Amino acid sequence: MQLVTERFNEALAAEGPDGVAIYNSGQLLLEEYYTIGKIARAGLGIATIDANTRLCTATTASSLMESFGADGPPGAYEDFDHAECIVLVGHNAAEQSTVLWMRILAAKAGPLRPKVIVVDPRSTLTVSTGADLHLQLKPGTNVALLNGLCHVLIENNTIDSDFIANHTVKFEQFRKIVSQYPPDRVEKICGVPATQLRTAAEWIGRSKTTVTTCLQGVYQSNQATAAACAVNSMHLLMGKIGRPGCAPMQFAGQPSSMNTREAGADGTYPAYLNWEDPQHMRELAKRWKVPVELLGKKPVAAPEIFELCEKGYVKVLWNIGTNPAVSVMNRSTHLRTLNGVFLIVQDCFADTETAQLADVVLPSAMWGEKTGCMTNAERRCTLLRKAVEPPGEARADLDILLDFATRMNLRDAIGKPLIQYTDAEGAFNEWREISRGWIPDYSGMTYQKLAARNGIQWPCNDDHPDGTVRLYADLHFPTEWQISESYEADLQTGHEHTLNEYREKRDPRGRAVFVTAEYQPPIESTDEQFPTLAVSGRQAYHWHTRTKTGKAPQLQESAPGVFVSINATDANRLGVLDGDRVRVVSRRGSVVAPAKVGDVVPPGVVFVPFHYGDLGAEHAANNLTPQVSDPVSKQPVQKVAAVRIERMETTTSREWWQVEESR
Amino acid sequence: MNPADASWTSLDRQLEPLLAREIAGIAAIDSAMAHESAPDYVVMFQDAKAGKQANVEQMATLVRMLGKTPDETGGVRKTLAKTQSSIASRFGTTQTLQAMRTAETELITLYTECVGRVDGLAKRALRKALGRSLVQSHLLTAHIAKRTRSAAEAGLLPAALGEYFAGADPRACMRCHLDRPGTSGPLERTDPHPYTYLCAACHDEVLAELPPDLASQMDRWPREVREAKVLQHGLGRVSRLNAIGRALHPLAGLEPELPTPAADRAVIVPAMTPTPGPAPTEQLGVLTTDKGEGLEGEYTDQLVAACQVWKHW
Repeated sequence: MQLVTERFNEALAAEGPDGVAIYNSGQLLLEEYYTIGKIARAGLGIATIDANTRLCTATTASSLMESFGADGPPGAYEDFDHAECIVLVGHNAAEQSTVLWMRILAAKAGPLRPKVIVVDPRSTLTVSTGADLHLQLKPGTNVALLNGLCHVLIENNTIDSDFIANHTVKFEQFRKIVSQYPPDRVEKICGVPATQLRTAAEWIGRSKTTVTTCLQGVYQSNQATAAACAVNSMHLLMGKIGRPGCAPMQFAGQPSSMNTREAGADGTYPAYLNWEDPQHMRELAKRWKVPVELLGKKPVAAPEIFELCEKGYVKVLWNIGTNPAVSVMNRSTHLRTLNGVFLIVQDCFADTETAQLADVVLPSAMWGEKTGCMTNAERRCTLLRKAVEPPGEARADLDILLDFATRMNLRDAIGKPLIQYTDAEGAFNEWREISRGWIPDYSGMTYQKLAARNGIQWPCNDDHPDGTVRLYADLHFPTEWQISESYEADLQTGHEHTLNEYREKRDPRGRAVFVTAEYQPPIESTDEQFPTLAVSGRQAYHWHTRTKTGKAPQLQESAPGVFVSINATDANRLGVLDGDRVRVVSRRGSVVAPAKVGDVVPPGVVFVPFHYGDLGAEHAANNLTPQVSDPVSKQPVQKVAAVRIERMETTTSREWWQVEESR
Repeated sequence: MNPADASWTSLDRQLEPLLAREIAGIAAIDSAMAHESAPDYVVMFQDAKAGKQANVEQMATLVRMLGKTPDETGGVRKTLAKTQSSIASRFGTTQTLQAMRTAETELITLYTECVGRVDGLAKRALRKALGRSLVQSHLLTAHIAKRTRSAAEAGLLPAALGEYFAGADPRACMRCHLDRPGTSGPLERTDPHPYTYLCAACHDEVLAELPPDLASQMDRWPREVREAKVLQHGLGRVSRLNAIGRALHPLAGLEPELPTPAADRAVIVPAMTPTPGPAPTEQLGVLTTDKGEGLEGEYTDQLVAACQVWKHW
């Protein structure tokens, strides 16, 4: 810890706030995120703080901000029980949200028998186990497909004109854009038959209740924010929001990524405060007891943090609870980056790929070894009690953070320690007061109350002491300039209006905003050298970079290694047999793996799971991915990489899936 | 000079007036921003504020290293600066810029004196802050010269005014805050987009910064996409820092300042031992789940029998 503080002080003093950065997680606890954010913003004064949630849930936040004024998922899980139609866009629920998928399948057997529509380039387990309709689109074409759905909804007049007139703005611009996407044109762009698109729109439009989910097939793909906003706009078209069974469910990819966003451990300020609003910053400064002049710094997102490291601006990187040596885009470049900075790794495992590159490893406790809260994608906060002591020298992440703050001599404006709480409950109680009166209002929650219930959904305050099932039931949206978290970003550049511009010319005054965009092909495109599109994704048995699941033999046996899923047509053309080793080569790097030949992916597309990334082997899907981010959410585009497939050798032994198939 | 040295004992007192002035400067900028209607100047003010915040954080770190608490209140000076700025901004942007330069000139004098009195880490820190202040001062002088058409003001700059402003009117590029000449031409987006402006020189520099794998594909992108990509990259933190070190330093009479890339500092080539897999066990537990009925039951059956799931990979 002494070395850590020495290096932090040296870099901060010599270089300023751009000299250090914190990259944290979507798997810590609320109290830890709040503390990380407070240390970074009120203590160190840095803007270079973000989390790996940038890779999974940043677009959730940006789409909700652009459509409704602020982050905060509108719906609840119980909405799935009330839905007549469920649309999963880029969401392989059967592998990524197994409990939710069981709930959906149970609902299908219930009285409403909801139609399930799956939008995915792959023929996934979700498609085979519960889809009524599969729209198998080409990778990167979500916006065209969603514009097409909205086109047909308007054409069929299955829209809610009163809702549109009374509670939204910019419908005419929206209508003009989607009118350019008749089903025939969408078929040409996406490869989805026009009849299927019409059927989907018919089911969505005729159902009284609809829930639509998005996950990484949207968030990590081309035009991420535009596509997620198009889903929100589709619900606005039909007035399907704020009532049971009606919600655009913009999901979160990790257990506590909601908390990262709420508490300000990612690029945003705590409690969804807007860094550009002087009044927001004044209020935060008052509650934190720090000078307002030192707040209000433009956030720097993770892809930029890694670039700052790469170019040499950031000298010290504190990596907490995440494994970028496998998960970072354009990984081949950034392995050297991680090796070139002074790298502090705080993790509950010492053998992660990132820890192998570290200068200092701070052993931390994992869940079950510490107390704190997690909030899920329906805004439900749950208390997790410590069950066992952490092993060896490991400490709760919160304890490490408190130690750091003390050693760094971080103080408030009147000279008292910046952080005065000493445990998780103390942190939670301070967070309750910080959030009081803002959108994610936790002020009505206590540890005692949480312990007595199966979690509580925010906002929970004096007006809603039992929490709130769904947002926007009053059809009022937080788009006014005084509260809005965004001032309307340009979907192509990410640049926002200034506060003055927004206040004077753009303020929707409590109405939701129709947002969409023209379809633009991915900027990473195929050509003669790289004729195939690679998409990456997850498997049911592993969690992200396998730091935990790779240690569970049952899970490791269920998904033992990397492979390349390839369509039989392409395999035949290349002379590749099932199990042959192939090299997948992109403009940045390559992956060597056995080919799994079949019809899961369409011709022209390959799939590589992203869990595998041993430092000594070419297994990481992110060797292939470009350093391209969505302009608004800054979420890396990890679903579209142009590649070529090179056949290496015919296998002499059977691959794991072949052994099992032959039994 | 290090915290253990006796000479550091007075450092916090030396930094006090600098901290107070920088805090006051930030308060003044906040006040000016509230009155500024031109988006390009708002962005310029935001960056000016960020530079001052960086100076404060550097000095505050030095004070904290002494075990003391930095005085970041700004004192009476802050109230005065806010009032002055508020009055100046009512007269217009030029007056605001002039007030900001006056404050910056005082800071440069104080920083220069202080740099001469310290060494070691403190000297490095204050040199960095002085550099930011010099850049800011020249930026303001260039804008004042352009807006007032004053030859005397232009004469204060180390290069001809044409190197700072290519066009007839004063504009503030959102990357370098000048309007420098270049070959690719400036980029501008207006209503319905948020107003965005990148000068011709920055356009050239951003094109050169794009990673080679993307640059090689750029000719295929429609013009609007290409320009949007340049704007997205150019308005990012890395590119803006590059603009300060590469372009604004020389235009303030300073040496270019760019850090050493991380890869050049890498001490070990990363390609080491694979993470050990799980130890073999004699008897593995079996994956199970609460089995539902119908579709739910069929699904959970498949989930626990991994080979059924493999068919979908």
